[in-house]
This record gives sequence, C-alpha cells and structure tokens, in this order.
Amino acid sequence: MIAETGHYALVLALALAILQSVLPLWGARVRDAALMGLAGPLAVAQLAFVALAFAALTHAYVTSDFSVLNVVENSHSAKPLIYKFTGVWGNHEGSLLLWVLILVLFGALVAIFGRNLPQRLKADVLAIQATISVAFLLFVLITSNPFSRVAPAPIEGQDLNPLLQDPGLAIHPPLLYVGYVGFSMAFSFAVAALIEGKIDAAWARWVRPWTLVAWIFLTLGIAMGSYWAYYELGWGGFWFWDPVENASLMPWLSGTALLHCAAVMEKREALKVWTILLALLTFALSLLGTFLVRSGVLTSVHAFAVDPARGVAILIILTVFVGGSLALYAARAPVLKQGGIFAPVSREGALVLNNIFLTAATVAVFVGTLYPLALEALTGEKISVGPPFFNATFGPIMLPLMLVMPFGPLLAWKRGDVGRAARGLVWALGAAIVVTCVVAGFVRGGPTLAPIGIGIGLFAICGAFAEIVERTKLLRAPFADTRARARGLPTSSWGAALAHAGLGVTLIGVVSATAWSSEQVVALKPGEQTRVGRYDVMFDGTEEKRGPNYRAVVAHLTVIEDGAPVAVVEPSRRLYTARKMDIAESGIATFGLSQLYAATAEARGDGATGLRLTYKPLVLLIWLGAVVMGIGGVLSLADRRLRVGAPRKAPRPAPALQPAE
Amino acid sequence: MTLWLIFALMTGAAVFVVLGSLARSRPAVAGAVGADEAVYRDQLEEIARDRARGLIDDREAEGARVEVARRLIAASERGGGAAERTSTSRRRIAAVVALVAVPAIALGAYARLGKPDLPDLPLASRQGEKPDMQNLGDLALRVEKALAANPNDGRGWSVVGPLYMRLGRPNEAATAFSNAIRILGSTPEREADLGEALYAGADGVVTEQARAAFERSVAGETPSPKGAFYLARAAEQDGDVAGAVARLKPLLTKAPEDAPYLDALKGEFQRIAQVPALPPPSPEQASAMKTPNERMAFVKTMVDRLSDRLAQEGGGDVGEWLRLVNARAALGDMDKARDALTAARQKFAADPRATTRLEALALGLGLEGGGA
Repeated sequence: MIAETGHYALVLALALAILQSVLPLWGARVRDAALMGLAGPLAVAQLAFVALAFAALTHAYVTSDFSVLNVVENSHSAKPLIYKFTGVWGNHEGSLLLWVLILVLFGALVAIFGRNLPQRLKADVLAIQATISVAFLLFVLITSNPFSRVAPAPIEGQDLNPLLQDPGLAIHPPLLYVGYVGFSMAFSFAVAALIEGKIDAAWARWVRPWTLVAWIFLTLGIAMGSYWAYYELGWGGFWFWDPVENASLMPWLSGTALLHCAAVMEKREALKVWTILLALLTFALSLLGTFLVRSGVLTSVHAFAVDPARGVAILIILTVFVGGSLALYAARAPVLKQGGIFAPVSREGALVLNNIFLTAATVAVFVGTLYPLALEALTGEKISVGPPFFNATFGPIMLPLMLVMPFGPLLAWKRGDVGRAARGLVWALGAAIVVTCVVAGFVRGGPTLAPIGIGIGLFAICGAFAEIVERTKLLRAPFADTRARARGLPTSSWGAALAHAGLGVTLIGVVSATAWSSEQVVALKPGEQTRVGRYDVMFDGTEEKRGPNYRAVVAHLTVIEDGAPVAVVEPSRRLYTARKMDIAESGIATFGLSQLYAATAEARGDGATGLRLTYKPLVLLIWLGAVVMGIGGVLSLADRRLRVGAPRKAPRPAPALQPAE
Repeated sequence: MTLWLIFALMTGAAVFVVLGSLARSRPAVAGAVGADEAVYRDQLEEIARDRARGLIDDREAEGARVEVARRLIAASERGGGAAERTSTSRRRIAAVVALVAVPAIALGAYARLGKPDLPDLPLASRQGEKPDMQNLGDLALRVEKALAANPNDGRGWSVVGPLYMRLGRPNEAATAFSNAIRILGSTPEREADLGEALYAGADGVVTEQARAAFERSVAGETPSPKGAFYLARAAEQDGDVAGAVARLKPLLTKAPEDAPYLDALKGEFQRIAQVPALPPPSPEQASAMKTPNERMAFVKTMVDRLSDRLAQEGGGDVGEWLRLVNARAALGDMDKARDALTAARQKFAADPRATTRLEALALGLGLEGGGA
C-alpha cells in the first residue's frame, strides 16, 4: 500500500507540474494576479508529493520489499542499513527520482523565499521550472518507473553493485545533483527574462545566489566523486578524463563563468545578454551530462542499465530544452537592453577574459568528450581521446587563466589600472619564484616543468589574498587598523579570495601527486618487504573476514619509516556473494597531506599476494582545494548585502580602498 | 479500499491547493516596476552604509550613487505599465481545470501504470511464507541461510550443491560438494559431483583438481560411472582417444539395461567418433523435397551414391566411411551399417586412430558391445 501510495503521489506531482507549467505562464501574459499566484502553492505541493514518493521508495528499500522491482534489482536483505538508504539512488530509476526531488525542491525554495521577486518574473520562472519537472516526471514514469512491481515477489534481491556499497554513495550523487539541478534555476530565470523581453534588477540579484549554490554543490560533488574513484576503483588515480567525469566538469566550467558574469550583471548591469546565454548553456551542459551518463552511450559504473529507449527520451528532452531555449534566445536577445559600459582594462574586462578562458576550456573538454562518441556513431570507428588530448588543450588554457586570475579582483570596476594591480602582486610573484627555485633545486625526479606548476599554484594562492592585503593595508598600517579593516571587509571578499586560493591549492596537489608519485607493483610473500617512496612496506600476511553480504581477504601491511613502524594499511578484496563480484578495497595511510595507497590483486597460487603500492605526495591538496573553494562559495553566499560596483571616477595616485565586493 | 481512500484524499489535497490559492489571491501590491524601484532604493541605502563603514570613499560612493540613481529614474520612467488585474472568469477556468485535469491526469496515468491490488511485501512479514518449490534460486537461498547459521551441516551442503549446478553456478557448487565431503566423508558419488562442478567451473576442461576428484571416485569397490565418464573425457582432452574409448567401453558393457546414463554414454561415443556432418542440400535440391518421404528418398539416394563411390574407387577417407556407417544406421539399416563398418575396418586396419574412431562409432550406435 505504501509503495502504491508513493506511485500515486508521483503521478499527482505530474498533474500539478502540468498545471504549474501552464496557468502561471498564462497569468503572466494577461497579468492576472490570481493565476500568477498559483505558481507558489503548486510548487510547494509538487515538492510535497515528490517527497512522499521518495519516502515511499525509501520505505520499500529499508523494509526489503521485494515486490518492488527496483528493490529486487538493487537491494539485498543482508545489505547494511545505510546502503538500504543510499541504495535508493544507487540505480537508474531511483537516481532520477532524486533528480526530480531536487528539481522540485529548488522550485519550492523560489516559491517560499522569492517573496520580493516581481510577481510576473516569479510566475514565469516557476512555470519554466515546472516544464522541466514535467519532462523528467514523464521520463521517470514512462521509461524508468521506480515503482514497477513484481508478482510473485522473489524472496531475495540481487544486491547493490558492490562498487557503490560505500559511504561515498551517500554524499557524491546528492551533492552532484544539487549542482546539476541548481543550474536549472539559472536556466528558468534566463528563459523567463527572454519571455518578458527584459531583465529586472531583481533578476540579477536572484540569479547569482542560485548559481552560487549550484556551483558550491557541484564543486564538492565533483571533488567527492574524484576522491571516491581514487579510493574505491583501486587504480589510485584521481581524474581519468573519463566522459562521465567530463560531463560534470563541463557544467562546472561554464557555471564558473556564469557565476562571474552574474557578478558583473548584479553590480553593473553589464553583460546581460552573455549572462543569459551562459545560463542557458550551463543547464544544457547539465542535461548533456545526464544524457551521457544515463543513456547507455557510455559504459561505466554510472550507467546502471542500458536501455536505448531511455537514451532516446533524454535526447528528446535535451533537444526540446536546448533547442527551444536557444531559439527563444535568438529571437528575443536583441530586445534586451545592454547595460553599463566599461573600459577594456577594468574588473568587468577581467571577468570577460575569465569567461573567454573558461568557455575555451569548456569547448576543449566538450570536443574531447563528444568527438569520439560522434565519430563512433557516424563511422563505427573507435578512437580514444585520453589524457594526452586534455593535457595538450585543457592545461594550456587553465594555466594562463590561473596566472591572470589574481589580477581581476585588484582592478576597479568600469576602468582599472594594470600597473597598480601588478604592484599589488609583486610579493606574490616573488614568493612563487622563490618556491619554484627551491622545489627545482631540492626535489629530485619528476618532469622539468613540475616546479613551475607548483609556482603557478602558489602565485594563485598568494595572489588571491592580494586584494585583502591591499584593502586591509597589511604591514603598511598599524596592526589594529588592519584588523579593523579586515573586520569591515564584506565576507564575500574573503569568499572570492578563498575560492581563488582553493584553485591554486588543487593545482599544487595535482602537480605534486602526478609528478612525484612513486609506484611499486609487486608480489610479496608474508614477511617480505618492499620500498615505496621513503617508506618500507612489510607484508604481514592475509586474513579471511566475513562481512554482512561479502567475504573478504584482508592483507596486512606495516608501513615502516626509518626502521620504525608508522602505520598499518589493510587493503582487501571483497567477494560480494549475491552479485559474485570481486572488488578491491584500497588501504590508505595518510601522512600529513600525502598518502600511501595500497591495493591487492587476486590471490596467486604460490602463496604470494600481488600488491600495488603508490606513494602520492600532497595528494590530499587536490580535494582540500575543492573544499576551500566550497567554503569560499559559502562565505560569498552568506553575504546578503546588495551589491553595487562603485566605479572609480578618475585614476588617482594615492592607493584607495576598493569598492565593495 | 483504504488505498483508494488515501488516493481520494491526496487528490483532494492537490485540487484544494489550486482552489485555495485562487480564493485567497488578491491584487499584488508591488508590480514589476515597483519591484525594480525597490531594488534600486535598497542599493542606494547600501551605498550609504558602505560609505559609513569606510569600505568606499566619498568619490566612489558618489559615482555609484549617480549610476544607481540613473537606473532608478529609468525604471520609474518605464513605470505606468498596467497594474495586475484579476478576473473572475479566468479564475473559474483555472478552478475547473484543476477540478478536472488533476484527477483525470493522475487517475488516468495511475490506471495505466499502477498495481493497486498488490500489497506491500516487506521481508519481515514474509517469514512464514512457503518457499516456491519451482524456484531453484529461492530454494538455494533458503539452504544458504540455514548453512550460514550452521556451516557444519553436511546434508545442507550436499543439497545445495546440485541446486547450484542447475542454477549455473559451478564454482559455488564445487565449494558445497567439497564441504559435504569434508563433513560427511568421501563417497564415489560426492567425489564425482565435486569433479563435475570443478570441470564445469573451468568451462569444460578437466583440471588437475577435477581429475584427482574423479580418480578418487573410481578408486573404490563401487566406482562411480560418472567419474569414469569424465576420466574418459580427460583422456580425450589429452589427445588419447584410444584411452578414452577404453575407459568408456566397460561402462557400456557393464551397464544395466535401464541405466539412466546409457544415452549420454552412447552420445559420448558418437561425439568421440567425430562423424563429419553431411553436406547440406543445395537450394534446388531443397526445393525439390517438400514431403518427408521425398526428403527420405533423397537422403537414401545420396547415401547409396556415397556407398557406391567408396566401394568402387576403393578410396575415401575415414570421415566419409564414418559418415556412411552413421547414415546407414540413422536410416535404420543396421545390416548395411555393419557391412560398411566391416569394410571400413579392413581398409583402415593399419591406422589405429581411424580404428578407434570406428570402434567408438560402432559402440555409440549399438552396432556392437552391450547395452543395446
């Protein structure tokens, strides 16, 4: 009964979404307050019903109700409880239900918190948002229904893919989905502005926080996914340029561009048309990501069940929304009035440069991801565009971006002064050069360019704080004065600085873990030892263990530094009995920011155990950088002030405080 | 019934959301233009606050103020747009749409997709449920659960082993059989089952482990026919066809008339003989034989022609002779089959490999040996 109630709630949500996509839009055209007023309550009701459906599915999982097909295919009575919860979205149908849940959650949030939005804008936005949920609810109900039943019900389920039986499943997909779906808000706002033919001041005020929320979650989601792949897939790599990863990187890049653009819009009412286009494209890339991952075009741990009908359905959704919105853009964009003007060298100009770089990077990833797929579809020829392509395209675009990134915040709105900005960065550049030389002098091995990568990363970190140093007059004014000024700084300034610094932190991690990692692939018998990096690793033997739904062979390794044991690492292989899948669980020992990574191969006949041992210096910085970026985003979001970009009247010699960020 | 009551309440709630909102709504205070102006006024206040906190200096504040003021003026000039209205007729339309469309869409879609008559079946409520005896997977699961509680239940292992074999899970079957042997002790049957599971797990190769199990199964006083059968296959896989036939022959001769494995045994002999298939008829020939009788006649002529050719030329390879013997037997002509066999044996007396294949075929067809 609960399962069927959930099913009916989902169908009701569809009915409400259809009303919500029609009535408020009509109301906005005829300026009928009653019809426009329907959007809010409908959005909230839709959330209530989708949440009910989600709760019903969760109930079926937790109680192991094997009359629900989705539960049979993805659960097992012996599965640990946490995976009964997370397993709800560890499959195609359930993950789409989560997608829809987050989508309607965003709609309801606009309805609840958007009281000061102009009524017509709000009605339009919620109606557009509802059309997206109509499309996805139909998709869920018709091609991927999580409430399909089986009779007679089997007595046991087929268990969840063991690769997904990990706490990562609790975090990674929801984070990523909030990111993907959050961009639908920017999309709905953009389409609403195009329909209205005008961008309200409130429009700009609203788009940035929504984009920022989406961006924060997407950043953390991607980082979490990367870390999960690193420790679960057993290869010890953190980014594989796999199409599925690229599918999430593309909206991140264009979303980052959108974020910066929206800042210009909010403060200076400039770049309106471009911001709208970016908003459309970013959501289009999110949908493309969904298509790539869910259609079965790609085979990966993400492609749960391959079903051509689903691929076609998502392709239709993609075509309608992307094609429709771009057609609307082509027709209506000329109507939008361009706002504030600015000199090429200015904060706005710097943000345009940022956009050019990020867009180029997006295109590089786009080509590298889709070209092989298109080629295979057209000619049947399989080519592999691996890391070499991306290293040759993405790297050369991102590195200069990181070099010019610190200049942006130091430039004034409307017209800036590069010379003055450069003076503010001299110490950062000095620090970067010194560290580059030290690294090049003292660290052995690795590519020649690696120290320069470290230097660029350090320059980005130091440069990120240059604006704050400048504005607090650090070391130039009495300390008390600096402290007072620091306290007076808007939190968004700290946010921007942290976000930029986070990128530098990640770069240092990537360079260090790639250039100076050392790896050993060996077969050891108990009592033997080998050397990885600056550690000796002693193999103590293996032990059999039983988990709730698996059997494991655990290898015991002792990590020895200078003759003294410093850590114990226990990589294992698990055989999940229901799916007959043999999964490597890596063992990781953390030393500061560096990690020793161990994975076992299948047991061999001669009593030896195959081991892959990798020492990755500073590898944790990769994900720590993303966390720093996320914290920066949260700080920026917490700054609820109105933003006005104050232009400088004329260049003056005396250093002055920057306008509010 | 309760289910439909819940559905009715949910539908009612959904419709009420629309009707309630329509009834409550009154003309909004802030129109689009008003909202713009409000934002700009807030921005002006913000500039004043920033100035007061010392975040921007006078000239910057002035510059920003001028720009925002300009936007504010532009916004108020745009003003005067029609204020929001509301009309009773549109409200009625919306109310009717909600009353009709929500139940229609929801019930219509649910009628197609839903299974209202299926109750929830949480596992906790199914403990007393009888297992579906037809479903081997369910049966295996039940035994597995019992074994998880009591892993030293040898009978359980010997029950679940054959289930695994029929479910196509030979590796688990091998584990089960070896557990059964460990707990209950070795018997020829258990050893043979273990060997068979290992053989299936290795995709049809008799591994060293499997061979050892088969050897144990035939070592005792009551050797397992199954073990001997697989040892013959092992010999064949080693290229020792004569050895394979020698292994199988006593099985056939000693087998009781009604032994269940007799057909499998004969099939094995025929397999070892490796009779080449008859060439398929050409399309014209195929179209000429419509009825079974015509087809039979055609095959007969073909076989006769083959026989004539082999007799006259005195040639033909062993494959053709095997094919002839096989075809004669298949047509039911056992005497001619025996004649052909005798002729072939004389002809290939010097070729031990051919002799073995001919013998295997003779045994497989029941032309000689016992059990026929």
